Amino acid sequence: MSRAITQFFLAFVLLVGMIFLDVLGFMQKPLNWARLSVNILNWPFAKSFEKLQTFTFVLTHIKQIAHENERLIHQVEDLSAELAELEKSKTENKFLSEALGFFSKNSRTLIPAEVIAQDIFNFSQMVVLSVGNNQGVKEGYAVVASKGILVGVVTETYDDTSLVELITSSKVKVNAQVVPSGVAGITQGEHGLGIFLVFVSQNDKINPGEKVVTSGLGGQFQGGLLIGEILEVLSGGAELFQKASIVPSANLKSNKIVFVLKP
Amino acid sequence: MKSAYLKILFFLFVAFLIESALIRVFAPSRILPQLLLMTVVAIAIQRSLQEALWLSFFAGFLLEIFSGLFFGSYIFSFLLSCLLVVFLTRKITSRDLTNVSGSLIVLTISVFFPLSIYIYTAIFSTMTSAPIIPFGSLWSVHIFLLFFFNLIFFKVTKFIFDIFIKSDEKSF
Repeated sequence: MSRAITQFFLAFVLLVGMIFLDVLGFMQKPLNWARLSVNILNWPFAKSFEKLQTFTFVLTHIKQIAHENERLIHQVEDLSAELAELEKSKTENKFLSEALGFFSKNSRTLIPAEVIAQDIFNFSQMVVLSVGNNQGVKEGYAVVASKGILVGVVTETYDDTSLVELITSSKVKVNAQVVPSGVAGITQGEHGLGIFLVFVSQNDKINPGEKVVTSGLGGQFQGGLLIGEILEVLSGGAELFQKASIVPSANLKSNKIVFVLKP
Repeated sequence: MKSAYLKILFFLFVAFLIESALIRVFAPSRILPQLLLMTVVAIAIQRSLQEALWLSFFAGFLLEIFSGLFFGSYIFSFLLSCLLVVFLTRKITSRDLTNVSGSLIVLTISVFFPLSIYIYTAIFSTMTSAPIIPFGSLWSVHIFLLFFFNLIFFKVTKFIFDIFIKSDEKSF
């Protein structure tokens, strides 16, 4: 029994030692290597599970897939027509911008990254990306899904991996604005339970269904990145500021490929 | 003893690879069995406390690789879970589990594990002024659904251990 207590004490001392090493930054390199190695080693299992997932999805959704296919064919036709209109507008816009002497600041460098891991029990709002310092990723860079939808922000970088805090985390606050009304506020995550738009003046009017984008204020994120859509205005007139819940535009936890936005 | 130890280490590592692959494919929003935790439960039942402690430490460290929580959360919680199982199977029930006692142990650990993570992160949050993870996001009614998945995997693990790994007769 006393030997067991000694062993437990030793394990506890080792844990405290490892915590200190982590605080001093000595655990970063081993963890970086471990993440990359596990990502390679679990590949055969992941591939098998993917096949199983696809097979069961097709089996259970075969009717829905047929309907979806039909709907998408119609949508492609509509979008093709819309694209032609937009191309025309783009040419006109370019011509007018040049005539008025405007210049575009819309140059964004995207670093593609694979989401190689997530917190195994979903207790934290973090994901691990397959890119790090060696690929030019730095702390504070925004992470987007396709089409410029904000997913999160890089909080820690290692040689070949990096940790990303999702926008649903309470640690991530983003200067945002509602479009088309232009109402300004700050989005804040609620420990993975949702996102809220806070600090909105009582004089401003926000409606469910309006889009929320980054405002570009503060300089951390570029303006115009889509965050989500207003679901509900939660606070009453008696409070100092309005608060609204937001539905994120990206499925934050199931994204497999994302892009790190290099300013 | 050495060969049993190596077999368990190998089993833990494979369970970890399967669990990380499951998370990678199915995303953590789904309820997935806690393979490593159930392996630790099986180890704590079958092996001596000293062996179980170090194997739990190793299992916890594997989970730290992908953890976004404070470093040590999983190691700490696995050590405590291991101690709890050892206590339950040596002082309350016996190591020869019936279906009911086995299920009760799996249920206890499924409920206790997130609780110990919460305590650990709450302590560190107060030290670093980081926001405390709300209790609801760690501990919800989904735990009871998770319990059924865990129970199935526990039975499988226990079966494999009974066949391939000889039980250590030492209690502590």
